[in-house]
Amino acid sequence: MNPGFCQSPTQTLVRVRGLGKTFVLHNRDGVELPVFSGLDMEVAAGECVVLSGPSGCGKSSLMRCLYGNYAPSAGTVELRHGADWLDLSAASPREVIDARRRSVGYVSQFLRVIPRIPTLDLVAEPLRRLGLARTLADQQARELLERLALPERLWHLPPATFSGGEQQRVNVARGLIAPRPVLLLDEPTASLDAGNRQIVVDLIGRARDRGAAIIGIFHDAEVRDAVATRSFDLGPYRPDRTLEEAAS
Amino acid sequence: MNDDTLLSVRGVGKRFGARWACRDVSFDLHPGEVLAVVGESGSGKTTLLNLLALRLALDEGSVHYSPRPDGSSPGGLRDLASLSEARQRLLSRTEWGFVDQHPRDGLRMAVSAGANVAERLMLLGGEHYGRLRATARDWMSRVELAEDRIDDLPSRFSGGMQQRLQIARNLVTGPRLVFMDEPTSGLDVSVQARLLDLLRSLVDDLGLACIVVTHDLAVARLLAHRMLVMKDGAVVEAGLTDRVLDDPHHPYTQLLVSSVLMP
Repeated sequence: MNPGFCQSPTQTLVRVRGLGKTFVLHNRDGVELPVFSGLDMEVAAGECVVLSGPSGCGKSSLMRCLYGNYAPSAGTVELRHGADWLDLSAASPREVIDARRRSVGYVSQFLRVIPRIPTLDLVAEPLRRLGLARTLADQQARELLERLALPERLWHLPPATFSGGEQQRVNVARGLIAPRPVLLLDEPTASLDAGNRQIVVDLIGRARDRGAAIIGIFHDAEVRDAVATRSFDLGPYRPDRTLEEAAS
Repeated sequence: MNDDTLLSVRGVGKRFGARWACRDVSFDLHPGEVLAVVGESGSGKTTLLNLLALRLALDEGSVHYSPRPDGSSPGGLRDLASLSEARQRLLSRTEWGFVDQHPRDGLRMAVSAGANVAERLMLLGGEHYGRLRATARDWMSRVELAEDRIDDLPSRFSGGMQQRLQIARNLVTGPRLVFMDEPTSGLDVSVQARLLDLLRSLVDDLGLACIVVTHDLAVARLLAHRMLVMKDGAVVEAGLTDRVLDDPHHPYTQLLVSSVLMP
């Protein structure tokens, strides 16, 4: 469905070095909340890396750093962007926006969009931003929504009143429609029934097989086993781990 | 500074008596970029907007703008202070727009809606009356105003309609840079939403660069690619809109973000 992007399967597309994230709450007496530190990670084309670790270990924070939504406190986050590397920790806003347009997609846990825009427009938008004509972008959006079994009568409505599962499929469609080389998926199947879950699993598998580098959070073991090529444990990067833990 | 920089602001400041209303503000703006300037009243954000739009004189710093290239002048950044007053006036009537917070300040209340929309074109001269009227109709419909209201006075319009009329009046010359001062804050919530949707699609379709002053973080999130957060006349935080709002670093930005009530 999405021709275009194709990578050689061994090329590194994401390179994280010494990444640390600490929140400083200035209005709470400057209390510091360290999330992780010293995190190194590389993800290549065709890999689907599942983040693991207990809740609160910073999986979502890592994803947000990879999308340029959180600013790292230390280290670098580099993405393959066209022929170059772009370091999100140092990039200008317009470089980050361009990277999101062409190089990195993000399916968040909850749909966060402008409330009054019809579903079809929301899903077609990433393609239009790549310069595709409206008719072509709409056509691909229709095909993807059909594949995701979202009832056609909903396509021209804004998703605000949709059920959780319907919203999530809109979110998945919006995140996967453009053939971006790096995909970040935060629980993309959490509110789906078995049938729809399988459809999304298939879509993720296809993106991986065309050479996308995927980093995801999947709590559902079945989904994880179906899409993952390896897992990445955030435990060792916890700042509060004991010396014994660090040594072992 | 990139080659396609539209506006380059360096160390800009304005003093009222002994007090600096804003100081040491620097940023670059590119075609199609929307920048929100947020902060509470008294933070200097409206003063900054007025400085950039040549409505106030600078006490410090410089503003460079890259006029649309034409036969007589090449492109490239020009120091606004070096332009003649006539050239400055022409710029602000053709390549720039300014949407005031109160439509009454930005409209001529004594002339018809159509004349308000066509005024900039008339000032440029040369247009045929029938064509001016057709253009006015066209712009009224683009901002979702009924074309048959073309002969009504703006005072007969609701607040939201007046604001849309003001926007049409500014966009009729195809500006590249539009300044907006709290464009939605005087309106009811439902009217605000409609105006924001309209602004967003116009900015997108026309590839406008905008500087929007607002105290409403939701407006910034919806419209702006980038943000400046101002406090006591200084920029305390700047960056990508969702980064500033989701991961605020400065104590004041953290306070602003955490003070927003979620519906």
